[in-house]
Amino acid sequence: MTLLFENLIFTKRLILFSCLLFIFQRFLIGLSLFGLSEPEQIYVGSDNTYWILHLLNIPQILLKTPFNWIIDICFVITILSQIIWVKNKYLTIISICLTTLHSISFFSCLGNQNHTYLGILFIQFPLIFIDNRERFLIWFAGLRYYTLFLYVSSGFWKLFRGNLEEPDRFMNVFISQNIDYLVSFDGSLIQNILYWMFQFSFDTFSFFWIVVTFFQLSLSIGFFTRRFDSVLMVLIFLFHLVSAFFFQIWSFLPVTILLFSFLIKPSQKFKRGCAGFQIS
Amino acid sequence: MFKNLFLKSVLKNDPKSFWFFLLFILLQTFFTFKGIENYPFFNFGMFSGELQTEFTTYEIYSDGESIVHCFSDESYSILKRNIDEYLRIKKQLLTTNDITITIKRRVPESWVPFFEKQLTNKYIEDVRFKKWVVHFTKYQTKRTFEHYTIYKTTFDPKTKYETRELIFKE
Repeated sequence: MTLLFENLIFTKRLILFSCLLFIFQRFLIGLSLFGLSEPEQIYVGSDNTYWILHLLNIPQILLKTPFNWIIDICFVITILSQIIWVKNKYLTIISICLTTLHSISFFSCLGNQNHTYLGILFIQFPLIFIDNRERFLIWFAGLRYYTLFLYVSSGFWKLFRGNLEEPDRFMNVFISQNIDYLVSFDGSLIQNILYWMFQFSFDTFSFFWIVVTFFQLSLSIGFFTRRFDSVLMVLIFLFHLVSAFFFQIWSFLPVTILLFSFLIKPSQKFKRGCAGFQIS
Repeated sequence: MFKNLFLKSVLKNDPKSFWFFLLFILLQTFFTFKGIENYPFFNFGMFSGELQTEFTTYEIYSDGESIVHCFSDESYSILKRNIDEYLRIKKQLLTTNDITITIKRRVPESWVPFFEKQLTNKYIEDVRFKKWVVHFTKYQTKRTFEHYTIYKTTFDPKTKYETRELIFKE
């Protein structure tokens, strides 16, 4: 598997192709700027980047026709053109800017709590250094730590916000995420599962939340060794699948693109602190 | 233990990347401890925040038929959040994370009206919002309809009882 990723050009193409698949899938079900049909309301939260762009009126303009479909098309074209002109780093930089604009404009309509385009944004940074093998590999190694931070920090948030002392949290999250299945979809699998769970007290299922917290905290082993990387990858992917199927968090699935950083490894020499890189 | 530290090796091999990584880590740490997000510095709470005790959703009927199943999951949550926000403004409810409070704290008083115009939905017009609901629903569900009704439904897991409240009818 690692041999496959020795070819940086192939690696870059494969990653961008996966990004493209995620984007196409979202666009096809209508989750593009055009699909938002010129929203009337915005949510910026306390995010300063959102504030600056909104004060400059940029997302408001991009959400209106014809700019919305122009940005949608440009977003796809820059990623597609990177697959063709793979060594051009300026295309990657333009693509990063467009990802930012697209994602901020899109989530202004939804609130900025969704991190759907996070994977597509961050995975493109190492790709800028396609002509510098060493830096390319260093940045991917850095990205691997960021990916781990993503899950581990979530475990710490749960721990420090006192989630483990709230026995009914799991059921509350489970119900609120599947509320439409309870109300509008009669006879669905999730509805049946929920009705079965209602027979018990909410506290019965508290151990699920403890399991999730400790799973996320246990991923911190990746900070110290690369030995279990394949196991961690599979576990993280399963975590995303379960949260998508049972908690309807489909918007978080494109973040799995960050798992590519687990497959691209710096050499043994790097670990010893010598100059020069090879893929082990 | 610290002999093979990643950042140390980066500093030796590629000092430029090292300074970039260090800056990123410092800013990320700062924003994580402050508990706010600043694109591209995100926090990943994953449902660790406030506990939800009331379970509410919206049901949308077009020409007497429920069309919730025609939406994709995320597009339906976009609609739900927008209706939520609209009702919140109409009822003038100030929640703890309301953006107007943050604006008043961050900028001088004379600038507040401009910031509110650009960043909040205070000046939303009823007609325009309802028009958007129809446009959005038609595009996302690929259906055409004449009349629609939206209910706010509250579900009580203890009694399995649903209470419905009419929001829009056109």
